[in-house]
Amino acid sequence: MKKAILVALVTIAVAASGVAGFEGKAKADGYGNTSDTEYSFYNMNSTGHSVSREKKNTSKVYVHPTYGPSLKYNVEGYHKSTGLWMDRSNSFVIGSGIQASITNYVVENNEHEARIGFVRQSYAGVWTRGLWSPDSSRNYTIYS
Amino acid sequence: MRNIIKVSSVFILALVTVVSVVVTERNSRSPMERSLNAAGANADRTGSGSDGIEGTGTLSAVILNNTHTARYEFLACDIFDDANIALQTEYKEEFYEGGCLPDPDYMTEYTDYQAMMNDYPEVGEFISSNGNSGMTEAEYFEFLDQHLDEYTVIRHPESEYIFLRCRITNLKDAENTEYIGNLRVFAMCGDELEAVAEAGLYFDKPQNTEDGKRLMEPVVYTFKPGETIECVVGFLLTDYQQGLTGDISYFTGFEPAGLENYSQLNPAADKSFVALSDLPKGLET
Repeated sequence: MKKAILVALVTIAVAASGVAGFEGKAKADGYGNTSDTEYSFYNMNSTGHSVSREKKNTSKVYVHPTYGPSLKYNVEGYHKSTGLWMDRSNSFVIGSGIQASITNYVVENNEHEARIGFVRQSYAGVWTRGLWSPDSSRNYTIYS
Repeated sequence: MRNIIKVSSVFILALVTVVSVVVTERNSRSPMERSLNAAGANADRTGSGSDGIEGTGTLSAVILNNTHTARYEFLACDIFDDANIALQTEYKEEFYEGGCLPDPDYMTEYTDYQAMMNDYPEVGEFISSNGNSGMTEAEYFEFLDQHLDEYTVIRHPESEYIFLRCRITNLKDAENTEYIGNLRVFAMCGDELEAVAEAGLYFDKPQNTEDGKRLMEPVVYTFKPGETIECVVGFLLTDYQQGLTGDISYFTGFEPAGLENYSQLNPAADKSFVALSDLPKGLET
């Protein structure tokens, strides 16, 4: 019985851990990929990133942390010719509750997949969660 | 003598107990293993005709989502190009995003930023430095006001419209909101990734509708405990500059958690992905 419980706990821990962690919803839009996707980051990791999503235009990337410790965020673009993810924005510490619009240069660099990178600010065994979209139809608090 | 018998009895009982636990654990399967076996995950995926799913007569391919809370069985696939999408009637207007049929002639602006940066090095420096040098942001926007049109064309991007018929099962014994929109279609030319599409174009089991039409929102479904649905999920795949040329292979699956670079993806050799060429045509099932 104890062994079965231990196996179950390990299985749950393995499923919940990971750099990018939990994934959320996504949808393509003909004019901009503006639907929100959930992201999460476990603050015992030092860095991480969201899943990648199609970036359709030069609008700002929307990030809205909703729960957990602050992280430093930046926008990365996928450079097809090199196969590398490149930093396409400056990095900003954004706290929970802030709706942020991050200036970025993904599309200007002929890149069409974007993701947000995370850098831990405080070590803790808790998750930071929020919403993000690669394109946006309006600006909130601008981070340039 | 009695003590020896007592001790021996306890020892034998303990030994039997240990052996029983070992044998039971060895023969037990995880929920994931039971789920995959029930779905026929070991079924032949090359089209030999064996039934992967009981009672359907249809060959299927099976994967789990990244959190192993949902099982995806892919039953059929249709791919249309711009010339054919308007001619098909199988996939209903009300299930496209926003309840509108896709416009096969839709136009998009393309700006040649590379040429712009070559002609104006200060603009190149501004973009390459993420806005930190070369010029100010105000100067950059003023430049775009003056010159953007010179480097911008409006054209229709070559597109593929992909429809996957799926059977999705909630593996949890509790209500579970599954973000089906996380499903991806990857277009590979050999080992190179050409394009990636998110599930969003089409979904025929929307739980939020207005006037019977699917709303402009992500592809999400809240499952009851253990619930299974059959649905069709659609993808719009475009290649932004070169067009979808060459020998393209399509795969579906989820972007692995923690994936650092797409160059690490090898869908053809990874059982976490399903080759769309292995699936029967949807309109024929």
